[in-house]
Parts: sequence; structure tokens; C-alpha cells
Amino acid sequence: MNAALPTQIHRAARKAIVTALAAALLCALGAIWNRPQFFQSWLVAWIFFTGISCGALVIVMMQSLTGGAWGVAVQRLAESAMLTLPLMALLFVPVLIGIHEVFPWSRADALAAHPKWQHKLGYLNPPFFALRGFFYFAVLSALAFFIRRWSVQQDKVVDGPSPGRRIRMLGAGGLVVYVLCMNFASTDWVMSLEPDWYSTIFVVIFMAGQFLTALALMTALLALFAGHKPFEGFITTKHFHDLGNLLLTFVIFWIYVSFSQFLIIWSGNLPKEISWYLHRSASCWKGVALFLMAFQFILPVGLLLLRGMKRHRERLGAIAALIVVVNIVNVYWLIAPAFHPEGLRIHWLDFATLIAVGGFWTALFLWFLNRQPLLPLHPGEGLRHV
Amino acid sequence: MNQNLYGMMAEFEHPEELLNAARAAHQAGYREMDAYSPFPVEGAAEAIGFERTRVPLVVLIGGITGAGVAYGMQYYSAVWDYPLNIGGRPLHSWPSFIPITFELTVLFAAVAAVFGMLLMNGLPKPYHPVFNVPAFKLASQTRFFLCLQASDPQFGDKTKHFLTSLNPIAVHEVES
Repeated sequence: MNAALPTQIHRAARKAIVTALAAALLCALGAIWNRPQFFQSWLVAWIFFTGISCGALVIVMMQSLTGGAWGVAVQRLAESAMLTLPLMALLFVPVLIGIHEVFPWSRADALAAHPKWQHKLGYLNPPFFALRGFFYFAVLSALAFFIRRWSVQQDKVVDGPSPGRRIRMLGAGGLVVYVLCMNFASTDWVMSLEPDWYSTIFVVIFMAGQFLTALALMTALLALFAGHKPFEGFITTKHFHDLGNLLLTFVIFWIYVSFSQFLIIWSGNLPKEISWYLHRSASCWKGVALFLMAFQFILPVGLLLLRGMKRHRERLGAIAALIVVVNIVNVYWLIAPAFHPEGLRIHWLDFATLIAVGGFWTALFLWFLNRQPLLPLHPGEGLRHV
Repeated sequence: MNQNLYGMMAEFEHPEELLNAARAAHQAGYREMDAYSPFPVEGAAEAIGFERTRVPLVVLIGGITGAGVAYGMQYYSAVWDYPLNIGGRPLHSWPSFIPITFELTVLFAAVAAVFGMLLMNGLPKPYHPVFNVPAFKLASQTRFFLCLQASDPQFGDKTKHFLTSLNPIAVHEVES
């Protein structure tokens, strides 16, 4: 633990890539063994890590508009995370290969059983699905690329015009574009798993989860790195306090929108609408739902209300890490009941795909992290102070 | 020494001077003091030795009270006092109680925050001795004031010398 932070990051990246390759090999074997299970598990892992990349992009764009010292502290972490978007586009390919195993609207037998789905095929068809997927990634990756480029340029500006204004303009427009992309992406990737069901607030739940996971991961990493140069001496209790307050806000926002959807569907009590919740509360899935309620809402809110928790580096880091891990369960609960509406069925491939996707993601994230100084040298105007 | 003295007030031109003066006064052992500025000065509260506020506790109690009142009220009317069969749902249908519970939690917490803050600040206060100093009207415009109160055990004849040593524009006696 005595080595400099960049050296440690470099080592961790190498470990991540080795782990990822080993897990990918296992996944390949699993895909031969149990093809549907592999693609279903892959979708969960891929959605989870894509969510972190997208959430990080939102953090950077939002920070360019609002400013604040907390943003400067996590800026390079979030930038590196958003740059993994092209990798996630590459890992989207297995989803397309296994589309028939995962999305019922792409299977002839399921279509025959549900004649009404025929009307949805104008939108839900494999070529258009693939095209849309790559389009979202192209747009979001371009946003990430330009913001990073200008952010690196900003480091070199001593006197003269800073690209800060350009970052802000792109960030403002980019947030709108992101919401529009996610509106369709959440429909394509998650909601279309049960083609009869739809909810217009689902995209908000989806985005709240993405932002919450990304913010929690950045907070946990900052807590981990805070004792090392260049964070040491720069990161203060105030930074953690701000991040803790933001986490509290977004935990509450997540439950607020999640409950809004539940309340409306519960009040309406229509067979087509409640099916989604019936699948997600059948047998052991109910336990998963209660677990999410306890560990993604009650526990974090209870702890984050306490000032001492937010101002303490290790404690806040632990709470943030908990939120990240519980969000895996959250994504799993949103997706997997579509495959196993009769009850919870955990498969070893769920873990293998998570490690494989996560390993590649982590390796690329750490690689980008080491490419630039860990703290921006010249944060934009208005961002220097708390 | 004047018995009718509320305290001794130093007048400064810059917020940094106020901060330094407040820290110096705290260092010298003064505890009963207050700082006045035209705008919030970062760190001023800490400099005069103000550590924690109990407003969050009041807000928490307000929020819990609001949640309890809201849920209790709905439970009482829907289950106890006037049970109605609504769409065949159980009488105690908790999901439908949540919006009101949430709203009253926020309302009670916010009201507790506002009034708790006012009461703990000792407001409303129709009379405050610092306004006896004619120059104090500048506290809402361009000047920064530090007032050491006579109720402090450290307060005495040396206080004026102490404040003068901080290089203020002026030192005023504040009559109570």
C-alpha cells in the first residue's frame, strides 16, 4: 500500500483485465452449456455497468452547469467512467447475438401466442433495435469524448480563453439528449422484456438508479483514494459532507419515483399493469423487493441523515459501496423476473457475467484514470471554491 | 465602568479582518460575542466559536410528528371511524396512505425548521442594544462588526484595549 497511487491503479487495472479474461472464458463455456441463461445474465451485467457509465456522464455534465467543490473532487473519476461508453457499445454485441433468447418479441413462437404484439413490430424488430442501440452509444460517446477533450485542454490553459464555456453549452444540451436517449433505451432494453407492460415513469426510475450508482461509486473511490496524493490535503470533510448530502437526496429521489409508479399501478389495479409487479413479488422475488426497500432506502437514508456519517471518510465510503452493490440487486430485480416470473433463480452465470463485464469496465476505467492528472489542474471559473 | 453597558463593538472594513478579530477574541478567552456582516461570511460562525445548531433535531422531531399525525389520522378515519369498502381493498391499505404521510412529514419538518430557527435565534426581538450605536446601520451595507458582550466573565476594562489592538476603524461602546 506504500506505492504511489498511479502505480497502484496500474496494478489494479492489470488484475482487472486478467480477472475479466478468466471470467469471460467461464462465460463462454457457460454460453455453450446454457445458452439462454448466459444471455439473460449478460443483459443484467451489461445494463448495470452501462448505467454507471451513463450516470458518470450525467455527473460531469451536471457539474459543468452547477459547479461546486464536490464536482471538482470527483471530476476525473467521473470522466474516466463515462469514457467507457464505447466499450459498453462493444459489449452490446452479445445482447444482439442472443436477442432471441432474451427478448420475447423477437421470437416467432412467442409472437404466435400473443397476436397483439404484431402491432408493436414496427418498432420492436431486431434490425431497428440494434440500430437504435448503437445510435444511443454513438451520441453519448460523442458527448463524453468532447467533454473530456475540452476538460483536458482546460488543464493547459493558464491565461486566455478557457474551454469551460464550451463544456457548459455541451453539458446543457447533452443532458436533454441523454434523457431522450434513455427514454428509448430503457424501453428497448428493459421494458420490452415484457412487451404488454409499459410505464412512462420507468425511464426516470432507470435514470435515478444510474445516477445513484455512479455517484455512490465515485464517492466510495474518493474515500478510498483520499489518503493518497494528489487527493491528500485537497479533499476535506466538506467534500464528503456534500457528496453524502447528494447521495441522500438521490436515494430519496429513487424511492420517490419507484413508489410513484407502484402507487399508480396499485391504485389502478388493472391486470395488464399489475402483471409487472406480480412477477416481481412472486415467491422469493418478494424477499428481493423487501431487501431493496431495506438496503436501498431505509438503511442508507437512516445513516445518511446523521451528520457524523457524512463527514467521516470510511463510514461514508462504506455506505456508498453498499449502495453500489445493492444497485446490482436493483437492476437484477428490474430485469430477471421477466425471465423467471415464477420465482427467484440465481445462476452462477449471473456472477460470471458480472465479473467479466465489470472486469473489462474497471480495467478501461482505471486506464483512463491514469491518463490525466487525478485532479483537474485548472477547474473552470466559479468551481475553485466550496 | 459603565453599568449600562451591553458590550463593546469593533468596526471593520473587510470580512477577513472580522474573521481574524473573531478568532483572536476567541483565542483570548471571549465566548459571549457576535459578528455582524452585510452578507454571510464563510467561516464566521466557526470563528466566534459556534459549533453546532440544534435545528436539525427540531426538524427531525417535526418530521416524525408529521408522519405520525398523517398516518394516524388516515388510519383512524379509514379503519376505525368510517370504514368504507373501496374497490374491495383492505381497510388498512398502506400504499394509499403514503402520499399524505410524505406531504405532512415535509410540511411539519419545514414548519419546525422555520419556527425552530426563529425561536432558537431569540426572534422576534423588537429591541436589540447593538442598534444604539449610530454606526451600526452600516452593518447592512459596507461594514463588519464584532461585538464582545459584557455578560462574558472576561469582559472588563482591558476589553477596549484588546479590540483597539485588532486595528479596527473604530471601537464603540454599546449601551444596553
